[in-house]
Amino acid sequence: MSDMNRFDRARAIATEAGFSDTEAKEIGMSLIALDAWTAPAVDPASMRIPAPNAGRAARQPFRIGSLRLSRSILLASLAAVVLAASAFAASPGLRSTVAGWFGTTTVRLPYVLGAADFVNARDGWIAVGNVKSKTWRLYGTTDGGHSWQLSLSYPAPALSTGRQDTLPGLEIQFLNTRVGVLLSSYPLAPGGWRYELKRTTDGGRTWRSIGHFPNVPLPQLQLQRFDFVTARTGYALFVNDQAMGQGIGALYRTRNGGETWRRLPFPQSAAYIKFVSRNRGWILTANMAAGIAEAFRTTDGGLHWTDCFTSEVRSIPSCGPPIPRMNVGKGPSTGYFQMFPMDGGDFFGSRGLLPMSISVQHGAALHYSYYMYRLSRSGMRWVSPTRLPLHMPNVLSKRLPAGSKSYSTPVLNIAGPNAWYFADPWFLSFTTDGGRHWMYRSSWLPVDYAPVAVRFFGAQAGYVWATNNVSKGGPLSIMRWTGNGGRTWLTISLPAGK
Amino acid sequence: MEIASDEDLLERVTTGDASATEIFATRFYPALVAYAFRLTGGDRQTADDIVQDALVKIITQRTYRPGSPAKPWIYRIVTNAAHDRFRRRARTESGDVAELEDGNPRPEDAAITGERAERVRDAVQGLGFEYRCVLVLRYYQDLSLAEIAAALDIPVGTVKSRLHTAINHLRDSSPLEVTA
Repeated sequence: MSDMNRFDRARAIATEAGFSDTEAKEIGMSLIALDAWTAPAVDPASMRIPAPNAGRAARQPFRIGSLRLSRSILLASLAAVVLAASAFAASPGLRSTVAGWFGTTTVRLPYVLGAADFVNARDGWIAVGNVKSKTWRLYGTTDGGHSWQLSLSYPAPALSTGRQDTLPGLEIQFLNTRVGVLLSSYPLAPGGWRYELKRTTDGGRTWRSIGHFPNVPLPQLQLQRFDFVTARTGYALFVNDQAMGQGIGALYRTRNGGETWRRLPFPQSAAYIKFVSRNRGWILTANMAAGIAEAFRTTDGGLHWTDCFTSEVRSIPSCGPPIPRMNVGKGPSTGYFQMFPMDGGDFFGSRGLLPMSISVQHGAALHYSYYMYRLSRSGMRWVSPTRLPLHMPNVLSKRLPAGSKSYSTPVLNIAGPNAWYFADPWFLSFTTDGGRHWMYRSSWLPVDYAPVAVRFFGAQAGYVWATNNVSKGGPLSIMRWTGNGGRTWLTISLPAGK
Repeated sequence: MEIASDEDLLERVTTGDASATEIFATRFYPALVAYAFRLTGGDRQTADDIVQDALVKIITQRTYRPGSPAKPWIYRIVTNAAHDRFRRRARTESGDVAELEDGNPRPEDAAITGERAERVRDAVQGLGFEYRCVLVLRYYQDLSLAEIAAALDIPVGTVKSRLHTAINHLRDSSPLEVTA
């Protein structure tokens, strides 16, 4: 705009404001001085104002430990909110390749999507349960979800609560296109769970039952983390969900594919484990009494642990001392204060990255900050915290949007040393340069859906599993694929119902 | 997707149309952030927060009446979000809430390009919130008086008088002095 045009416009504004022509002329000359104050440019693609000091070190965060809700517990939580069965209506015109079964873009009651795991952009497995017939069915795909083949079907017992509309959870974990394990949970009458392990070495065509594990039932304990790092070596952490942070639990290791399990010593208050190789791993503890969260590492398969990260646990004035909770489904209205992220995927990433979260409750507002720490070369220090974006994803997550009936925390996928994907119901944000720059994809999920897990294979291909837990008819699940880095998403057809 | 008007776009957004939401954000986000940036006195982090709060409301609160002018409605949401934010901050600073937002104003974030710009910012920041809104909406966002009236839910006459007061305030401050 030329100076004359700017002046004319400013004079017109002054005239509108009731100044006389003479005054307006004078004011117009000076009002354009306001133009000196320019707003920063905003990149509409990323919807973010470029940071003036991009790349500078993030401020030292207030740090607390982090913990992940296991998928099995998540599923149990999901099942618990099922209120009423509704008639299943298959989406018209969609058929899977599974004989006798129809495909549907939305899995709804009496079917539930219980687990999903992909090892690359093509090969993956999902578990679909039927709460009426009390069965789990496992399906595999080798073409990115275009078609599904039935891999396994087995009965699931009713829950001891007597509820007819829930199923005990399960987990599937594939190491590659051939080797995978399936963990089924069964409720124990006095409380607690037992777990059965099945194993495949041919991509799910056949399954062999390994038996119950660990060998001794653990009443009152729930599986928190289940991790096979090689075909033969796996770890399992059991915790007392009601006594988290009090050192009650059990850590087990197998060296023979789950045939036998050995109980390991572990630091008190263990809350989460992650192994990245046969012998190398970390355990996270949260000692509320001492006011610290700590990470320990092992290099001998869990026989010895060394303290490698300590973080202060600070009381929140409006909430009192933080209590590590596993159940994050309560939402902010109940006053729960979530200390750890439920990331649905990585916690300690296999690349040596540690995301930490802070969650502070201000009345009805939750304020999340996530920081990513890199593991130093020695493996003894987590260094250089990088703040995960506090723009679209976090800001949107820190308050329950008006009209929303549920709350969900962001999920994280560490796809590479510098490739992190951070997702919430509204935005997928990701970086490919270790957090220096972030990109955003908006409107990537339907309304009321929240991501359960997101996973990318390279820069372009990825999937998200999302659920809607506020639907009147019970929980709904979808899976979406992207082949262009999240620009567009395809809701894929899943096998469910006859 | 071809969407003729802001109103059509907004109507689709409030009905959950994903592609419309993306277009909406792309179309409005920069202007809304610029608006919030000036309301906050150049605090880019808080400006971002405000607009994102507003976008959540726009997307999730389906209170937009189809056919009504879109721009004033959108700016009303952003203005209210800013107002809420300032009230919260005021409470925080008075000690009711112990933790501040992460986006505390940082001088280096204010995108001040010079001393004069800094004086302008200070002068605008010195206006009361209701006057600042009117001035920024009219001068920087180029909304008409009628649109501002609709956005702030006040009569057009009140808009005029607030604009008059705001300009007078600025005249009394240094940034509007004509330099030779």
